Amino acid sequence: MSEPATDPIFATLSNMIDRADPVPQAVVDAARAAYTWRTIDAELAELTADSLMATSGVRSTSAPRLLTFEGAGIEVEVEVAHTGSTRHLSGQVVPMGPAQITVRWSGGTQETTADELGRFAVDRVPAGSVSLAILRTGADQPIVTSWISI
Amino acid sequence: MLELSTSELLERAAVGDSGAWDEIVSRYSGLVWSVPRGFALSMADAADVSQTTWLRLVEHLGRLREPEHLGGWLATTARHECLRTLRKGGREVVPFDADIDIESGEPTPEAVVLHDERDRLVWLSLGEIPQRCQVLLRALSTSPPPSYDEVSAALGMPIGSIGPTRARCLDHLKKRLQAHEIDTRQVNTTPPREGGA
Repeated sequence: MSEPATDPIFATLSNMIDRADPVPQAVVDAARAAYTWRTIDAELAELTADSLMATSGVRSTSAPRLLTFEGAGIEVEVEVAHTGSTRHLSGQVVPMGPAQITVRWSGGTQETTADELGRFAVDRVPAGSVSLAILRTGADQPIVTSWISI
Repeated sequence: MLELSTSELLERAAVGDSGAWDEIVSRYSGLVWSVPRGFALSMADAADVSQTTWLRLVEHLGRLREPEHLGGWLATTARHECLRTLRKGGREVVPFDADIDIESGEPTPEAVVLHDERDRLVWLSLGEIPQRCQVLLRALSTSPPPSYDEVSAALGMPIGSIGPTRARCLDHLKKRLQAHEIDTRQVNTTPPREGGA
């Protein structure tokens, strides 16, 4: 950009922010490490609905959050409930059918299975960014959901 | 790596070149960080927004429609995640992911700038101007300097209004500084100190 550098107040501000609130090294390191979650050949089911963003004004904070992911020919509904500092996830994969589900977060993973109706539940998922990898029975490649902060 | 365009880096990262990924992070981590901090999110929430934004990019490697506008895509993603975080409101304070332990080591911005009275007042004034001014000025202050295209994405504001809004926001900031009995002319003429950018 051209002009900003010429404005003294802006220069003062930039300099202050640069020293007072730089990107924490841990945040940069985590961003670099995010690359390890790259999945080769996995298809993506993107977030298409989030009850958190659906309503305006007064919202019940006690109601579970509902997320919908769609893509690669499937739909995944996930309900997020708070249990202290962790989250309980329950949901269903449509079309219905058994699947291997891997819940992924920055610090680890947890495996579970979806039953013949596509239903699954996972307890004790840490708050933060999560994504599900879904391998439907008989499928060659997993489908991953968009990462989302819960 | 430095000479490669963003599109070229994305192409390389999409096929497994982690060095290209690291270079993308170096170029844009400042911009991504500036968005949640401009929205006045806590260090932990800002780290959360930043991480979700980068994970979104990982999943979208090879899928971006306009790779040359990566900065705008990242800023938009970060802004949407900020709005989600704000909607969560009043959520309990939880121990942050052990991989991204912000609370323990890093001094808070307030603690750092308190050492310098002038910086402290600039910081204080920044926190008192309208939120979108904070987002705008934070994004513009990012190093390397972002394009107006990227700043417009961070704010969800047309590119054409960035310049005029920037001028108005700097006026807000000056007024707050004056209200804090700062002589801005003195601030402006003070030579840069050691260690400054």
